[in-house]
Amino acid sequence: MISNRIVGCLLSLVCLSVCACSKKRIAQVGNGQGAKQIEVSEAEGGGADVLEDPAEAFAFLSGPSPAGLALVEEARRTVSAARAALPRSVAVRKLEAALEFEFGAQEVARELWIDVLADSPEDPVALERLAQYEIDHGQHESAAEYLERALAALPDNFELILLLAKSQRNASQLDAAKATLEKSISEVDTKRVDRRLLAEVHFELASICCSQGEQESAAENWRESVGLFPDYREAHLALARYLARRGEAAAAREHLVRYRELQSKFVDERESGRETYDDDKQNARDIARLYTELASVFLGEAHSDVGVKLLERAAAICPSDIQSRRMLAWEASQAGRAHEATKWLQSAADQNLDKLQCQIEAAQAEVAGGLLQQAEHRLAKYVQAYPQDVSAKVSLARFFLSVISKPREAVNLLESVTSEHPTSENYELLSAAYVQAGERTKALASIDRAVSLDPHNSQLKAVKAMIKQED
Amino acid sequence: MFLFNRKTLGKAAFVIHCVVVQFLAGAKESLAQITFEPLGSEVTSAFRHFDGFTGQYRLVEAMTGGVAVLDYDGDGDEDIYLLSGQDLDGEPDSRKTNALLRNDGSNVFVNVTQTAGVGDTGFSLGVAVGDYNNDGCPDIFVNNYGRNNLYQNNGDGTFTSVAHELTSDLDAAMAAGCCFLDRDGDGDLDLFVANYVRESFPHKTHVYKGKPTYPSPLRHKAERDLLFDNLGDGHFREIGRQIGVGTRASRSMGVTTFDYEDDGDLDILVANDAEENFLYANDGSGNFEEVGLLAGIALDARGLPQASMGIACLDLNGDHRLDLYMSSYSNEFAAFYENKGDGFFDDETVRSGGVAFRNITWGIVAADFDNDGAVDLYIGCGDLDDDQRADVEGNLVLWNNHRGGFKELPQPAGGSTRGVVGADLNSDGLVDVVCNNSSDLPEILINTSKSVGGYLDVRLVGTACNRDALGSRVTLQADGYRAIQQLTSGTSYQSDGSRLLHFGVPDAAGGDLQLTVHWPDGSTQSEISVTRNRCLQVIQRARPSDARK
Repeated sequence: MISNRIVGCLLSLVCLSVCACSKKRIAQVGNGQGAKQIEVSEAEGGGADVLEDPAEAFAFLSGPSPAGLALVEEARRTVSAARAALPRSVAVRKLEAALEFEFGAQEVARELWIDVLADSPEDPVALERLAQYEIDHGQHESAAEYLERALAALPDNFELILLLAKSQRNASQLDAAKATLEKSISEVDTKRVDRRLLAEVHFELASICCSQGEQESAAENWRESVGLFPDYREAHLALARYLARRGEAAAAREHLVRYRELQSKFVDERESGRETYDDDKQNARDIARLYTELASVFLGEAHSDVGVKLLERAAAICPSDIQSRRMLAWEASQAGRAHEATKWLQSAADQNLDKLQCQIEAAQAEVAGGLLQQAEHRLAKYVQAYPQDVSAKVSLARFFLSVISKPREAVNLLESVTSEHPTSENYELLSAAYVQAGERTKALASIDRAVSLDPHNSQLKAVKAMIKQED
Repeated sequence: MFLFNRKTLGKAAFVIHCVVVQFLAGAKESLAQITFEPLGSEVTSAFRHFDGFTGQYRLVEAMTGGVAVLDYDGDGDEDIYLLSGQDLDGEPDSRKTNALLRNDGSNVFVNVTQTAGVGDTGFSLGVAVGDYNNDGCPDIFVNNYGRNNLYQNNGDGTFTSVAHELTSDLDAAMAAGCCFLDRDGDGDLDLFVANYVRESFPHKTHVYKGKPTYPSPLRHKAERDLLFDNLGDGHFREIGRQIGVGTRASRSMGVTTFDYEDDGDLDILVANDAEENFLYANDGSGNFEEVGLLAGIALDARGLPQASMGIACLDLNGDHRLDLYMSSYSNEFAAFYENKGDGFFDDETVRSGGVAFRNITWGIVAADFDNDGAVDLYIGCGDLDDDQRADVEGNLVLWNNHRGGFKELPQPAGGSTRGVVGADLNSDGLVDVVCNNSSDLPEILINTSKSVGGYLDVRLVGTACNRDALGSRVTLQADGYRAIQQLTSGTSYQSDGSRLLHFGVPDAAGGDLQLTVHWPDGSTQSEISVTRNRCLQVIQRARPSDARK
């Protein structure tokens, strides 16, 4: 049970943090234990405006961003208060350790992760972070020991498998690394594994084979990598070198050209990222994520007031943070404040115009609130901005069909979709649009096409029968 | 790994004393020692490096600078030229200059910067030494952040700046390593000049983990490298892109030249930071093609770029091919690229027992420090920002175990080293080491190891080829012993090393020594019954018709 005093402290802290960064006026209400501070805000948006302020940006010229540094300190204080509030919560301790790991002294983070292990000895996250610490300090053998324990908890985790193999390799345990990788390939249901990760496993295996002088096995694994992930540039280069040494110049050149294409694309993306990367914004994203996770802990402990405050702070720190806004929308809707829920989802969507899911969620909320025009405008705007996005067109078509009954617009969209992506699902939807538009012949033709593309789908056949019947 | 705790070693007792068990194939176990003793501050305080720290954490502050050894006054011993940064804003401070320390023997070094006229006030990073006008006196090129400088040796202990010869539209680029080479075999030395990045303005301090720090080089735009063609009349012209050099921008650091595929010409290797290294293959006529990827030098064994810093090029595994060792960022493997022949290299770092060093590794010297016949490594370490790392470790000695691998030897904490070069400063037959330390005094480390075998130092003088004989390949052999080296310019990190080739000759090498020089013009010259434990000067024998014009 958390004392009211500690919860009060935490709330004060969160509020004070908001105050410190956004220069809002604070009025204190109540006295003594459980006293709470209520914001009297002059503007919405919390502290985020600090980071966007051009004057603040120019502060970088003579040193670090005060706002950026203040944010980290604020996060430290907040997590520390959370730990005082929930001293037994392993989740909070993990967040504290994660914060230190990301922004503070690694040695402190290490102690915190060890502290987590004391209560939760096989916690894979703690084990993985401790392994990472060892790797950062060149202690690959110790890292491998932590990772083996983490893998015992999460045996199908290919990221851990790869990290373990790399640590073993870096510790000159080539045979062990090879065994780790071979075991993962033979024992894990590889069909369920991300192809890119599996490609990386084969690539690592190839590197080890190469170190052991087994060129043919290495080549076999490089080929597997390219087969699984055709854009694997390092594997293309390795194959190019392998083939060049065998005198197969043409084949080598082919892989080298592919490597150069992929590398060029990679460098272009990196260089464009260099232009736009912003430390403070990245820090803000990380801390917003941390607050959101912390909020989950408090919401789970039935302290929704603290949870909501943390979510609001996360949303304020990072205007583009989606998860905090989603959770705030959920909390608002649960409390019967549908309008507020819609506002949060709209905010998430407006700050993430490139994310379809956000637009759909906001549109759904707008539909529920009767804001049909806004919803239509939102989805149409996205389709216009991303004309290649089939999912967006399909979503808008569904909206036309099921919300505002504009079958002709749906037909136009879906004809375009099916011409480029002739799948049974798309033809089924087109058929529905024709039905709603009163064009039953075309509806029948479309459903016929859907059935031909997916002949064993009984549902399609049933739909076809219904259309025929109505005809 | 360590025989005793590094932290118990104080800086005052700055003696690297390491005892390792040496296993020679088929031979009895023997003890090998590699020890260095630093000269005191009464010698080294003649120069203090300045990194130009502004509090804004501008990347260039962390990158300076190199060091060179040269016999500038022709008295037979090696003098030292140390590079310094400079104030980045405002007028240059005349107290913060590069320094020339004249070797007066008996470990006495005198600062002669002013009288020699080489007190460059630019922000210096890279240095190369070469007799560009073939007058027998080594000249100095300084690669600055800003205007570069070429100091022409007047032959009387003074130099004249002929900077105007080597200007380009890239003077504003952050400079890096540089080296001389006769790319086209016309008998005079051309100049390769590497550039790192172009700093973005206005400068924005990078904050990492809540603290200001130096940014990744990837945050700055890469710059292209340059090649200045020596026109033979005392003038240079930049022709890089015309001959295939610098066609792609990169973040260059250390550079060197060597004949990677043994076809008789010099190729150029550029260590690039956080992206693929470049190997410019010379087609024999002075035109280049970048072939690092296929050669296997561009990326590490896993196809990943390293933060390559410095380069050492020597036969590290005794197979008579020139291998490469390249320093890199903290917690990365310093990469050992083994020459497999036919122009192919493999990253054999893991197989050779390589370790990922905790500190950033910068300058690197490959030399047989104990004259046991196998090439060891001395590696300079230092962080970008040592103030933020309390446990800065010292430099490293990697002792060659004669089995294709190295053993890391313990060492005390020293300065935050950048450029490192090796040279026999006191002519005692052992290679000493000079470290240029960031914002600190330099270290002049006198090799006090017990010499396991003998040695031969070789000085080459070209007559038909370039006077420095850069590009010459030398083979030294005796019964049961064979070693090769190539004389080149550019080494380590932004540095240039001794023009004396040092061969450690194990006692097991029986019979007479025979020296063969393959001069860069294709001629070959042999010296038989060479006596050990001395410095041998070999002057190219040339037919009158071959004489350099």
